[in-house]
Formats: sequence, C-alpha cells, structure tokens
Amino acid sequence: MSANLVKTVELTGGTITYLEAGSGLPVVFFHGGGGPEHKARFMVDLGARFRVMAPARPGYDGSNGAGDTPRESAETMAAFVRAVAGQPVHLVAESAGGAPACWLAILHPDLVESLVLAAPAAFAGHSPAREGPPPTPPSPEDMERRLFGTSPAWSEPLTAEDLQRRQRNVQANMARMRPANGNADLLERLHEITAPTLVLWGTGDQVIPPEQSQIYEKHIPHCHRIYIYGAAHALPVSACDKFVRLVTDFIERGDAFVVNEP
Amino acid sequence: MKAALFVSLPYGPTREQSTRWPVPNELYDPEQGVQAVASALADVELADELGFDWIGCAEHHYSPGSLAPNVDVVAAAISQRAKRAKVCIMGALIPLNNPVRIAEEYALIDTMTGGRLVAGLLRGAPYEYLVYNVAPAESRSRFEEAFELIEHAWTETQPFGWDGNHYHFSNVSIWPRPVQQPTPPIFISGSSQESGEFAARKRIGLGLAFTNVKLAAPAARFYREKAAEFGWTPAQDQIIYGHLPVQLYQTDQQAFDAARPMVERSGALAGGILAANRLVVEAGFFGQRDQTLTRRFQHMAEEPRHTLEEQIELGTLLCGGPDTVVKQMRHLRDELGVGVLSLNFVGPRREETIQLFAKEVLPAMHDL
Repeated sequence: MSANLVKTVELTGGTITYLEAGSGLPVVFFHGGGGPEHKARFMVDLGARFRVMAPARPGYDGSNGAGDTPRESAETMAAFVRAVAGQPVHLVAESAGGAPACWLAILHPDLVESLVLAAPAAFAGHSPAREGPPPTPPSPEDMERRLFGTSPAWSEPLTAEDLQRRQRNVQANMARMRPANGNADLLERLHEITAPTLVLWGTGDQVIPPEQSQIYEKHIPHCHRIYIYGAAHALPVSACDKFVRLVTDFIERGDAFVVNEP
Repeated sequence: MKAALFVSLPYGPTREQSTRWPVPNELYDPEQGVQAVASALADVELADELGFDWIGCAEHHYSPGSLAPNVDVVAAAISQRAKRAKVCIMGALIPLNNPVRIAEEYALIDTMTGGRLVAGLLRGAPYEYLVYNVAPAESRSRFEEAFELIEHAWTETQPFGWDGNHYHFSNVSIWPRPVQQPTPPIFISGSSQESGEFAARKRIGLGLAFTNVKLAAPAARFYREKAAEFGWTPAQDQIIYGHLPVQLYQTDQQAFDAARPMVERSGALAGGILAANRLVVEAGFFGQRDQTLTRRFQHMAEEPRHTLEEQIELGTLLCGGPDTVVKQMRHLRDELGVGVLSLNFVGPRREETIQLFAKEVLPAMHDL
C-alpha cells in the first residue's frame, strides 16, 4: 500500500499534476467538480491492487492546457495516458469526470481497456423537472453531506485549506462542468464506446437523480449498471469500500464479475 | 368504504390443542388441508360474485392458523377465482424473502389479474423472524432496502445491479413488469411511528392490523400528519384496517349469544406465539423509537381478557345484526379515517355470513 504522491508531467501544450498510488494494472481516475481529493482513502485502497494515477484535468489545481470542453479535456488526458501510463488503462471517472472519460473512450478506444463511471454528470440537464418551487440552495454543511454522505472515507481529516482548494476548483471550472449544449454531442456518440463499461450510482444521490443511470445503460453497448444502496453522490468517498470492491472486481474479472463467488 | 374478504386460509381445528409455536406438524392431516384450501377458494368465488371489493391474503408460517407460507401462490389461486375484485396481498414479508422474487411474483399476479393487484409489502409479526433465521434487529433496515429494491425492479426499464447492505444482485430486469404503471398501489403495515413516517414519505398506503382502535387511531393520525408534512393527503382507500372477525346474524341478540363464548373463552394468540413474539421484540425488532410497542409485546400474555362488549368498543371484531355492524364500521371510519376493512369470516357459518353480509351490510358500507 502506497500513500498518494503528487507528481507533475509536462505534455505538449500543458502541464498536468497528478496523484499516484500503488502498483499493478494501470488505473486512471478522473476526479469530479471539486478536483482531486488528496485525502480520499479510495486511492490508497485501489493502490493495494493497481497503479492508480489521478490527474488534475486542465483548469484544476495546477494543471493547464487544452480543456475548455469535455472533448478537449479528453484529448489532453489521452496525452497524459500515453506519457504517464504508457499503455492502455482502466479508466475510472466520477461526476464531472464522466463526460471527459466518455469522450476519451470514444475518441481513443485503444487507450481504454475498461470504463467505470461513478454517478457521471454528463447529462444532468436530462432529468425531468421536479414539481413545486425551486429548492433552497443547500448550506455548505448540507452540500458536504449530499456529496460525501454521513461516513466519508478520508484518510485524515480535511483542513480549511483542503476545502478552499476544492472551492477554488469548483468556481474556476463551473463553465466546463455545464457546457452550453448539455453534452448533446456526447449523447449522440455514447453508442460508440466499445470498452466494457460499469456505471455505478448511489440510490441516495441528491445531486444527480439516480434514474440518470438509465441513459448510459441504454446507449453504451457493453454496459453494466449497479446501484449502491443509500450512497451519496461522490461514491469513491461516500461508499468507499463498496466502490473499491466493485471497481476491483470489474477490472480483474471483466464480464465474469456478475458471477457470484463463494 | 370498501370490504376486503381476508383469506387467512385456516386449517381448522386440530385433533388436539397445541399452544406451542411452531405447532408440531404431526397434527396436520393432508386431507383436511386439501379441504381447507378448497373451501377458502370457494369463499373467494362467492365473495367476488357478491360484490366484495377486495380479496386479501397474507404470509404466515408454522401453524394451523394459516396455510399460506407463500402468499403469492395463494394470490395466484385467488386471481383465477376472483374475476372482478382486486387481489390484495397483505402481504409478503419482504425482509424474510428474496425481494427480486417478490417483485417478479407480484408483477406476475398483476398480469394474471389484468391490473387488479394491491401490493402490501410487510415486515411481518415478530414471531415470523424465527422462521428463516433473519435477525430481528435487521428487520427495519432489511425492510427499507428490500422495499426500495422492489420499487426499482418494478419501475426500471433497463437492466441494473444492486449492491446493498443486505441484498446483492448483479442483474435485475424483471419479466413481466406490472400492468399498473408505474407500480400497483402499495401499502405497508404501520403500527410503529417509523413505519407511518416511511409510508408518508413514500406516498403509499397504510395497513393497520393486529391492533385496536385505541392504538390504531394515533398511528393513523401520525401517518396523516406526516403525509401533510410531505405535501400530500392519503385517499380514504389508503388506510386499511383489519383483519376483523365478523359475527353477523339477523339480530344483535343472536350474534352476541353466538359470539360471546367464542371471543371470551380464549386469548387472541396462543402462548407459543406470545413467547416467540417476546423473544423477537427483545432482540430489537421495533428499534429504539417504539419502546411502547416493545413493552406491549413483552407483556401481551398479562393483558386482561376483554369482554365481548369491550372488544367491540376496541374495534377488534364486528358483531351484531346488520344495522349494528354498519354502526360499528362507521365508528371505525370516524376514529381511523379508514377506507378499507379487511374482514375475516371463519367457522361453519362462513358461507351464510358472507351472503348475509353482502346482502344486508355491503350496500350501506359502500355508502360510508
């Protein structure tokens, strides 16, 4: 088991910082809207079996380069995979990382062995309108609970600096998370994803409705979908043990992960 | 107000009395079992023809009180006899069973009836937790997870897997799906506040069984108050009360004379069930919020036996001539806001009572 290491790689046209943990089959993790969570325990847990690389996409933390749209970000991440992993990877993405991950799998299928999408945020505008007045914006504490649940898996307590860094990432990347076309171009091309895909969603997700998972199931040809009962939006942290177990099982056993083992 | 004929599927008298639970099945005579099932299904046909609104059935185990260990099998049989009435499963005990199997079987019954299923999803009486070795303290969490899984199984139109605290499935995509969309009408039992709040939050109906008016009235009120907090008002049909034994005769005097020795002679439950209930509630069946219910089940054996008049006042049976029975129903409606009564017709006069009820009580009941 290795601790997260913060590294930097120079690519043509930009610099990418990333966390790295463990050794084994290469796994690349795309973070959500708050940027890389340096103290998330799942990195260490996945690192017990895999070499996990978690790049900050352009616009997050210290990374820069092309990345104004999910598609541009995917191209930069393709360069990252070639430069750092040097081989096809198992790509795992959560929330706002979902759209760039789908694009990477569509545009560079040779780089993606398998794809895991944890409550991806690509089509957040596709949920049916809810009845009644618009909901009151959540307090910071409530938002923290909606994202990470009541038992978040941090390897050590978050500091004010961690929260400020997350907030800076959200503010700096708001436009990237909500493209004007609602990712309609991505929806049209989801069917081109050839990598075996696993979609995970918490039934307790109050950020993006769990029924959104049906979109991916319907359009991605080789797709499994699993609900994690009661889990909040940011599954790697809100349901760390289940997330790590399911991702590990899917990567290591492929399609056979649906078969129960004693 | 609607009438549900409750098909408890009783075995009838055993050749000797047993107060144990489980009741030793050496007392079971297969031939009598065949007759018991046949006559219960004959009642279904009769009640359906005579205008009963619902036919109900429920899962129970290990006693002559009910030969319905798999309620979906019973409901399937009812579905082939009742051509008009709704078939109400009151219900499968979902924490004890495979929730996906329940979703599949209920959907099949909804299909077999052309969309006449009323879907009760229940936790069960405490003693049932000694049947399949499920920990009573997990009852609530198993129930809530199983409920949500069943809802997903009914409403999802793409395959999905489930990774829960109690249930794990790689693939769920049920065939058939329910006829009634998005789901059949659902209710749960709601004696505890946790259940009442759950039903209100889920916007589903509430069943009040094995209780009395004194206990059920605050439970029904709590449910309605919680529903208001969640922004909706339950329809009258969404509060179900039962399962009330019916002692109906032409006159009050006949009914009271016939009923008194039966209802005052014995307690409602045998000692074995009382003891099993106590063990299970002491293992945490009701959780922390409902200590009153835990205490009630702990001390049920010490409860005084009630006179016939007291039982009528408590709303634990209907007894009298037609007008009196209607009056008792009105009292239940007023106290509980109940819209469906689950009625238990047992004993040798069963067929006669069903016919009298349909002729002399049911029209007035429908007007309540």
